[in-house]
Amino acid sequence: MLLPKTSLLCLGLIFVFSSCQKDEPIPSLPQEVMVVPVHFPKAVYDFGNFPPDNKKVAIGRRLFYDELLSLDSTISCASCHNQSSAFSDGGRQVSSGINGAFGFRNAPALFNLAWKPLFMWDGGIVNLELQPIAPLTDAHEMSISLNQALGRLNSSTQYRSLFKEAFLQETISTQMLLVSFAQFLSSMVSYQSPYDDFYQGKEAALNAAQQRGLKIFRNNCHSCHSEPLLSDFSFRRNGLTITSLDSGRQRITLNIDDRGKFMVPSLRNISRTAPYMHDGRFETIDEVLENYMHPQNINQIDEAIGDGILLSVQEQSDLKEFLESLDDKQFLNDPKFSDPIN
Amino acid sequence: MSYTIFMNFNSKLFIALILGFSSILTSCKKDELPDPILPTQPANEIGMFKIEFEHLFNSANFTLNTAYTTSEGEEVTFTKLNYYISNIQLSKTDGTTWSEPESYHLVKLSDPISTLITINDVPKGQYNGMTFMIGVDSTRNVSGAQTGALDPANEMFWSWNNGYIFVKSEGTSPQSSSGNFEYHLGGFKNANGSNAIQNLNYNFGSSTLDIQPNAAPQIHMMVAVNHFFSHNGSTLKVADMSTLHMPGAMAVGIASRFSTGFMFDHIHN
Ligand code: HEC
Ligand code: HEC
Repeated sequence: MLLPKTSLLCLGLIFVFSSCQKDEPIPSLPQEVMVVPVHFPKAVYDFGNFPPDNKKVAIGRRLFYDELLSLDSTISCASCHNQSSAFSDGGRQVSSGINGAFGFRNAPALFNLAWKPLFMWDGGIVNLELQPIAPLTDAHEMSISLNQALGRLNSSTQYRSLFKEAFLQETISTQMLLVSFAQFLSSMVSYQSPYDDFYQGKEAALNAAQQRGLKIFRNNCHSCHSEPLLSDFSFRRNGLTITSLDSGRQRITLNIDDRGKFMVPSLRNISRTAPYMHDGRFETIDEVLENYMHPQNINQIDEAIGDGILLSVQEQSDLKEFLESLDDKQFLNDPKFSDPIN
Repeated sequence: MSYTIFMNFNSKLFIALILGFSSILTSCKKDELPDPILPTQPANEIGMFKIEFEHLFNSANFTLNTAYTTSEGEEVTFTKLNYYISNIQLSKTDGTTWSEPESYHLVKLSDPISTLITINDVPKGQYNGMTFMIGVDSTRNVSGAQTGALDPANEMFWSWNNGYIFVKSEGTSPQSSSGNFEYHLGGFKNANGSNAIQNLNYNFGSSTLDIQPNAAPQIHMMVAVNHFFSHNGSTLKVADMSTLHMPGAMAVGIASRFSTGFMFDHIHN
């Protein structure tokens, strides 16, 4: 992407030598490398027993765009997660899956997933490799069993040879399928917004209003939308009315104290991911800010918000300008993540 | 541990590379910590055994697709009964134990072969006790994509609230308002009393399990499936609750009652 492959491999070699400094033979080098921004903390996903390589990433990318993985071959992951919307479901409050069935939550944007400890608005999924099972098998989404999906992949000569090259196995297994997905999903890193440049010391990356907005953000939003990932991945009540449809984190922990709590979403690429909140109840950032100023529901609201956050008209405008600096145009247009076939 | 190197690139980006860090970590770890030295086990030092699970309902032979009457007078016909047996450990009178590595077994009544578990590479000797779990330990409930008995394609896994379904029982009953029952039991978290893992511990009494290179001893377990619905005054009525698809106190209650039905019967050496 940014460096020629060979120089990455050289760096890799230096890196192996300097980190181990043992005269044991060098472990078989993965063919490719993955890029991780230096200003990010350590990733959570550790790739298990499968070091990242571009063959697996490429399979994951193909699978992500392949409608073969839904029962009637009409829906792919990308049907609900499209790149120009930062892999959220551009403009839809809730997504429709197979036969137009509707789910009950807003499809979140997908990026920086290797840094998330838990997935879904309620944190019910605990490992990136396990994530694809939910949309694949959900009757409202792709409605296919893992065995059906594996059957289809195994009867495709193309997939068989791709998987064989990447895993050195004749038969495609659940693990191979899930690992390939996880490697593609973890390669989707968004780290090149103007905000990131500013964060790394390039002052001119943000204009004066955006810099004022960042201060306001740090005073009012940062305790949940922590930098640089713009989320601390905790579960909070940010002042929304709780509907009987969705108890949020309580659904997973069964703890009444968790009722109406949802995982703090990252705010990167936020201008592309409307509508907002777990059920897509707000169309615009103005509605979101209105809710932080005058919460719908202050019963058991997080104390970081209290009765509401006071923001002058000027502050609202600065804050909104700042939020726009979180758009990562490279990510939104990166051909590495686009449909590999069409 | 994280390994990163820094470079300044066309003044715009600092990039760190993580190079297949898991493989490197393992290789480095190996340098620091040598592999544990496994006791070499020549063929004349090891043997195997089997555990057979025989299923009964009120003392009658139990099979799928047969109607039985619970102690509450309800009629139940199972169409599916699957459960995990994991972490099998044998013990000797001197207190030493042997644990099966990667010990995960899925028993499915629809697949008779799975009701006879074969365990290989056991150090020879006389064992007089056994422990196992009905369920899957908490570690494996939160690990990445698993294989074998724990392959999520076995449909013993909750995709939306991760964790294994330890016991999956489904069937029909005229007492259920929908005509069906579906009880999927699981839950590994201690919080809110939702840990449904059942640890069972058996003493073979006067019998011993004699592991020898050329022998095939078999432990015979009886599973009284009627305990699913009632035992010692505690009951589950299909008419009151015919579906359960989540962890919690209900699942723990049924799982622990079901586990009382697992009884050691005898050993053929
Ligand atoms: C029918 C629409 C739909 C399809 C198809 C779909 N998703 Fe999603 N996805 C969603 C929704 C809605 C959520 C949020 C669900 C929730 O929180 O309960 C979600 C959540 C996720 C998340 C969690 C993100 C986070 O930050 O927690 C990931 C990762 C993801 N999807 C990946 C995939 C993959 C991979 C596929 C294809 C195998 C896929 N999705 C197919 C709608 C869809
Ligand atoms: C107490 C923690 C907390 C604070 C403080 C907080 N937020 Fe949030 N924010 C959340 C949570 C939790 C959600 C998701 C809630 C839901 O969907 O139910 C959220 C959602 C959002 C969303 C919608 C994101 C999406 O993808 O749907 C935006 C935008 C947002 N917050 C902006 C802000 C701004 C701007 C501030 C400061 C003025 C702020 N937040 C302060 C916790 C917080």
